[in-house]
Amino acid sequence: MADVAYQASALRPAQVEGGSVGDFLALMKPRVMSLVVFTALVGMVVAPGSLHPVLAVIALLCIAVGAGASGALNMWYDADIDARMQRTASRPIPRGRVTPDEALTFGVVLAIGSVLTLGLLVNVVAGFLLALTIAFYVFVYTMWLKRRTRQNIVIGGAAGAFPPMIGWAAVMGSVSVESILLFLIIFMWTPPHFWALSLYRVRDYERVGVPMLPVVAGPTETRKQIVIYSALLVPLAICPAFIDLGGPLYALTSIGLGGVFMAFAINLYHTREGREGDRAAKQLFGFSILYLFLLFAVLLLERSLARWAG
Amino acid sequence: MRSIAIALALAALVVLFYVATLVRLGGNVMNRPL
Repeated sequence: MADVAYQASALRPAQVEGGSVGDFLALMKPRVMSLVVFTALVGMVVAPGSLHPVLAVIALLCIAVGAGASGALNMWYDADIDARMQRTASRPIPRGRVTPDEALTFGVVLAIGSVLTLGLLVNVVAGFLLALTIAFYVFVYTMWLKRRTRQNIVIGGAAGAFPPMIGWAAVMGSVSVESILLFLIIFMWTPPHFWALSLYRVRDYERVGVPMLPVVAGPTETRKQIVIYSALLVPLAICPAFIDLGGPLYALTSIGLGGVFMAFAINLYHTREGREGDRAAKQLFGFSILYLFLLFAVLLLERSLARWAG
Repeated sequence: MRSIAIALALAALVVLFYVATLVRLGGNVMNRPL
């Protein structure tokens, strides 16, 4: 019996040899990548400098590939728990389409390649920030915090908040108050966003032993923390209007959307039971994506219009 | 299949570095002692 099991495992690499281009693309978490590219683009456009369009495209490409590398390395490390979670069971490694070694090699090559290319062709500061982002996501979040502390996504969220700073640095060659503010908005947005998701996926996290807040502290405490972080996020997201990053349209949008965000968070706090509770969590999760997208889209629109007009 | 993907990626990098060099140096790319 043991021999049969051994033979089966020995055959496995040959069976997964045929990972398609689509499987390797899936390793790069394309949906996360698209949000990363979008926020990095906004960071580049709102920066008060100029960058040759070709170099701007190269910078975005490197940021996208760097984000993809982080995704692949995350899937390599988390393959054991991904296989046991409904949301992640169909990822390429648990499905047997790509071996863990292939994912590791793919991730390392892309990470080194994207950082070196960005550093050499655009500027060293942007390259350094991309390296920091990848290292933070892989070592600090995935390997260190995710399975150890309930603060996993609070601190780990910094990795997802770096892209607008990288975009800004690609143009300006530096870090500034404005780019740190963009970083802080995404940083504060991440906890309510992920905790809303984890509220209705709590069984998945429980099963694999990831100490997400609802698993460790319970759904009531999670709802309270969501309200607290939302109350910090909403005023912070209005700040770009006061430091010339955003104009009047941004001020109106951030106030209006912030009000809706708070309303969803408070509704989630009061709606705790059964399907209604799950629905409230899904509503906040869905709206949080729209919220961040619209805030950054308005920043992009206003700055583009100002450049076009002036 | 994998070898083709690697070859294409390397070719793309060569083009990328060539174009970026032209963009960064501009007309100075021709400005060298003969």
